[in-house]
Amino acid sequence: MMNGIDIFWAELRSLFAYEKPTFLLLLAVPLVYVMLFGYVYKNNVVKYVPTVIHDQNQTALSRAFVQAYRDSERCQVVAQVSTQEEMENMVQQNEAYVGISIPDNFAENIKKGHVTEVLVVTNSANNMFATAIISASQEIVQTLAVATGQKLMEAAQLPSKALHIALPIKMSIRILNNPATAYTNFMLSGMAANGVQVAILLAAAPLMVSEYRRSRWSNRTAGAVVAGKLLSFWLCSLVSFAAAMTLVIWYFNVPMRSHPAMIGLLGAGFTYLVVNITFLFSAISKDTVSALQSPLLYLMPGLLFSGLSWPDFAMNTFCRFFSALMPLTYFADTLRDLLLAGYAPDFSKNLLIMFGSGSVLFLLTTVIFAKRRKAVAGHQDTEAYS
Amino acid sequence: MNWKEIFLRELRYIFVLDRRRAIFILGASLAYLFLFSALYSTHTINHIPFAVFDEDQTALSRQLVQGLDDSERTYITSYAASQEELEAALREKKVYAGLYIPQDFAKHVKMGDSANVLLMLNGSNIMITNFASGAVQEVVKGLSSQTAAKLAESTNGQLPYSAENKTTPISFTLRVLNNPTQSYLVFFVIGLAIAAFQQGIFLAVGAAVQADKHLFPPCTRATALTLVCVKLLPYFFLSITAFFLTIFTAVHVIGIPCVIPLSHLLLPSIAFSFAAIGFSALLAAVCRDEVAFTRISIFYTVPAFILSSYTWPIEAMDPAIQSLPYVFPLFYVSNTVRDLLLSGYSPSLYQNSFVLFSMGFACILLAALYCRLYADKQSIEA
Repeated sequence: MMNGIDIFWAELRSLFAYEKPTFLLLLAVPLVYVMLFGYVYKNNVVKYVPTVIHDQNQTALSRAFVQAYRDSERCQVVAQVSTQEEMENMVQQNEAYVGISIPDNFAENIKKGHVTEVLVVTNSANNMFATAIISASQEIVQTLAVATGQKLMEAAQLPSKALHIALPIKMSIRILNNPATAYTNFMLSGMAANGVQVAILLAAAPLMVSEYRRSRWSNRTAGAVVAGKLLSFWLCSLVSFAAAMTLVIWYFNVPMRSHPAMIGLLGAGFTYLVVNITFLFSAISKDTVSALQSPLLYLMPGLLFSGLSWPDFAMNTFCRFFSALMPLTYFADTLRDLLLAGYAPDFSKNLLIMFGSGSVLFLLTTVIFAKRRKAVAGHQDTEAYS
Repeated sequence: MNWKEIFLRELRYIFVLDRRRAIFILGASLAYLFLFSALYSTHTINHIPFAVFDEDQTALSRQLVQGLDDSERTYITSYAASQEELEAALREKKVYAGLYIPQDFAKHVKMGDSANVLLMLNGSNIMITNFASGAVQEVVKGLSSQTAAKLAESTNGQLPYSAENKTTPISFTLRVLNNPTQSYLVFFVIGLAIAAFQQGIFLAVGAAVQADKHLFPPCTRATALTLVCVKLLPYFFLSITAFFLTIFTAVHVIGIPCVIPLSHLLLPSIAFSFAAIGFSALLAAVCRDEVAFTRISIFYTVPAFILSSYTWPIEAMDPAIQSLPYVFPLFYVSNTVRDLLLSGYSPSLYQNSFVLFSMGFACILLAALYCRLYADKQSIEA
């Protein structure tokens, strides 16, 4: 092991080398990702969706209905138009993302005791707008329907009784862990994890492949070289992870409800696995550029396959299998659970998987590195002899 | 070398000497298309694991549970015996949502008092939260309206039709344009494929420029520009081919709707390919070596997609960052292509294409200028 320690120190020094400070790359990428995506999602919800109104009724009741949309922070009324075509045109032209059409017999129908229907038109090319508007419309229409129903019932009942008849079943909603359904809480920790993964790929990919042509560690065992490089790089990756999480928690106010040590331990497992994966790709690659490019198809889709946004129960068998190969699958969702709930049911299992598979990859890298190093040395000897 | 020789030499590199360039351009977007269409093959999130704690155990409460059981969004996996059990199931992530129906639920309704049910959701994953709460709200609203009508009939002596109208006097009809089922496959996959397409262009063009940057002879500015243009020409044709291959596969194999003939996508495909090639040529020209270029292009991929406002709208971004998306070519194409495919019309098509062409011209000019300066410097040093 002694011969691994000086490799560790030498590699650590080279990560901080003045000419090529690889550590800076490792540190900066996740921080830039967190800053960028933190500001993207800082508003947390989609608000003030441009809305166009087509009020054919123009009565006190229809104006009350329009006012409810004006008062909702989800919508921003940008125009009132006089025909349905105009309204639909505005939605098609993306000048508004939602159109509300109130029929001309809106108030009369209600007074006569007939159901009256309001038309909500939305452009769902981007689901984010449609989701925001459908939920806002459900709320507004439900509230107005109950208030109007209550008034209609008051003809025969006392006001409080009339309300109970109009709305016999109420539903309270209790949202655990992320009560404001904030997008920052939902996505930012995963984005930071993805940033750490990208940073490790960018910084670690050249490390093994560049060693084949160098003779400085030729008298050391392959295991010592790989372990020395792994330990130094893993240590720096942990610092990078800690810096990214600090920014997520302190600057963007994502709650941290678990002990920091749990998060650190999970981060250690994740960085250990990702460094080993990158080393393996590096060890089998032809050159530095290939070492950077070959893991792309494997690592880059990781965030969307990790279950962070699209849950595993909605995936088909192939996707579950593919997802099981991704390091982020064992990390992103568990990290979010630790941060938001203070508890992650899969914590121990995922930690074991990350350390276990990382160690298997370490052994595999060592074997490949030993064999290729020997082959390259033999080839160099032949070249020198000839 | 004349322009014809440069063109043929580049083709030879793409298809024979450095085949990864062809693989990047032709394969990246197709690989992402297949991968993510498999991920979003269910279109939406259904069968959300759900728990129920029915403390009331009456006909009315069972009717509510039956409504949830019938909804394809929710999948009742457990019936809790206490509120603690319900909370534990949520905490252990055995379920993502749970409904608590309290004792005396039906009694309160019959007595004319409002009865309350409690929906508990794990809010960590907003997508699940939104889908689950929407589905449960619908079921509860349906039962509430039905019950309200019955109450109006019995207490006010209303006729059934009149009772229903008076208790639910306003309803809304929802008309969702372009993506009526709000399918994630339709909404998301094309954008991801275009992001991968851009990455493919970057890696291929980057390799080409980096490989030959030192070969540019000291020449006039016009010659350098011609050389760069001829060199990039095969990538341009290949990019347009890859773009149409991807869209054709998306429409005819994956089943993403396209309401216009594919030829209508020619303008955005040309404009975007031109801009992306120019952008990557400039980036490759200024980078020290291919390793540095590859690092930058990998780093760029995710922010370019998120900032393209393809998912999170630019209007909802923080003002501090709202101007950044305008720098990236992806911003001018991803939403435009989706609008064209789904609605057959994009209001910003011509404006965005103009911006992309301008961006491409500027980048290619700068790339040529930089290559010439680089070659001059090399020759002086030599």
